[in-house]
Formats: sequence, C-alpha cells, structure tokens
Amino acid sequence: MLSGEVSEHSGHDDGHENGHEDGQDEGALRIARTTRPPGLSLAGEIDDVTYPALVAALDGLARDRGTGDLHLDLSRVVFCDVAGLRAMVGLAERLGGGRRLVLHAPAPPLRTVLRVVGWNDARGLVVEP
Amino acid sequence: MTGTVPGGPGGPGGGAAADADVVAFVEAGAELLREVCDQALDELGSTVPPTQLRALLIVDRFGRLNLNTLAQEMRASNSAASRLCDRLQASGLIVREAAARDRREVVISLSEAGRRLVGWARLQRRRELGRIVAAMSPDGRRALLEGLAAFRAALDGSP
Repeated sequence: MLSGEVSEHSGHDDGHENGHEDGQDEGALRIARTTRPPGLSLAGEIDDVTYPALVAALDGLARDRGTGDLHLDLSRVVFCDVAGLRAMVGLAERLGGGRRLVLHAPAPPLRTVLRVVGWNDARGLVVEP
Repeated sequence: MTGTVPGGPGGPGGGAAADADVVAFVEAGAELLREVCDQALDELGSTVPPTQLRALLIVDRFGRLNLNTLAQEMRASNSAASRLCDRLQASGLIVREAAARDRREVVISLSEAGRRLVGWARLQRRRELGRIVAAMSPDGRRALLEGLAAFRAALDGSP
C-alpha cells in the first residue's frame, strides 16, 4: 500500500487517473473516469462478474452531453471476454452525431475478435495501438 | 476380443494386450487432436472460453436448437446452459427467439457475428491440421484416412 491519504472510498469515478494499486483486488475491475481525454481508464478483468459495472460506466459515459470523441484506455485490462468487448462496440454504435469511441491499447486477442467478427468496421469505433 | 488388431505388439497370445495398446494409442491421439485444434485458436487468447466455443460449434452444427438440446449436447444442466446463453447473447454471438409453434419454447441460433467467429475457428483448425497432414507421407495419409473411416463406421454401428 502507498502511505498517504487512504480514504474510505477509493474514488474511482472522481475523474482522477488511479495510480498503481499493486496486489489489491487483482481479480476485480477498476474503472476511473478520465477528463483528458474524456472517457474511462479500465484496469483488471472484464468478465461476467464485472460486466454490469462496465455497462453502468459505459452508460454513464453515453449520458454525458459531450460533443467530442470518447476514449477507453484498455492498456491495463488483463482479461476481457467478448461480452465486454461487445458492450464497448455497442456504445460506439449509439454515440452518433459524428462522435467516435476510441479504444486504446486493446490486447491482441481483442483485436483478433474485432477483426474476425467484423466489429472493427462498426460505425463510430476507432482502434488505436 | 482376440486377434482383431493385426500387427500390434505383444506377439502370439497378446491379443487382449494389443487391444489395450491400440485403445491407449487412440485415446492419446484424441487428446493430441484436441490440443492441435485448441492451439489453432491461440490467437483468441481467453476472450472466448473453451466452453463458449464448444457451445457455438454445437449451435452451428444444429443450425437452430432449443435450450434442452444444447444442455444435453454439452452434458450440462439446463441452468448452466441458460447462463452460458446469457453470456453468448450479451456477446452478440447468438440469437434467442420464441419458437413459431410454441411461444414458450426458446430457439437458439448463431448471429452473423457468431457465424463469422465459428467459420474463422473452423478455418484456423483446418489450416493447422492441414500443415501437419501435408507433412505426412502419402502412405501415412492414406492409412490415417482408412483408420478414421473404420473408426467412424464402428461408431455408427455399421460393419
């Protein structure tokens, strides 16, 4: 644990990029809202247990009245099943108004699924290295 | 149970032992084939767990089927199969709809995305198997085909 401020709430949705929390809750999914760029930073595992939390966070993102692109940082996602990926693609499809959802650093297997299934052609989805 | 396997090890009087050897060999072969097929899909990582993939292949084989049939084919309980279908539907890989003749019955089929994934998986497996088969001698390939055909015939109950 880092010494310093440890409040009751981990404050995952307060707009701060969360730091490294090594060894803590390795199996869970940590979701942080990011402001620059606007979107979410995800870390951990996206599976049937954490799926509802992901969907809620994506829905929250969709409700925001922004105008620009939204970004998902997946660089610290260690596991993501197809349902999680589908939820992200679903958000991209319903953004509309020329807005796009940018996936950053999805793991190679996720890229394979996107390509094989054809979701990388989904309207409003951009996949970045 | 004697003398059914010519050329097996064990020499005279070793018929039963030879059978056991052949059976063990076939079992090892089955495991090996499964491993090769799984390895062919390494690119997917763990995004599609083996159970989900198995379910998708079964749905593809049937075209359309109900939950009971899927559960039977997977040797799973109805509730386990139902949870699996929840995941596959959230994944956009299967479609569930009410049967035309009985609205209470739910019919499962592959979505377009599911069809693409299954098609790709089969292609990857065939590529991997093809690489290995191509490295076999023509005689070996012929023997493999004959052996598999005989196995299939025995399974189906024909002589």
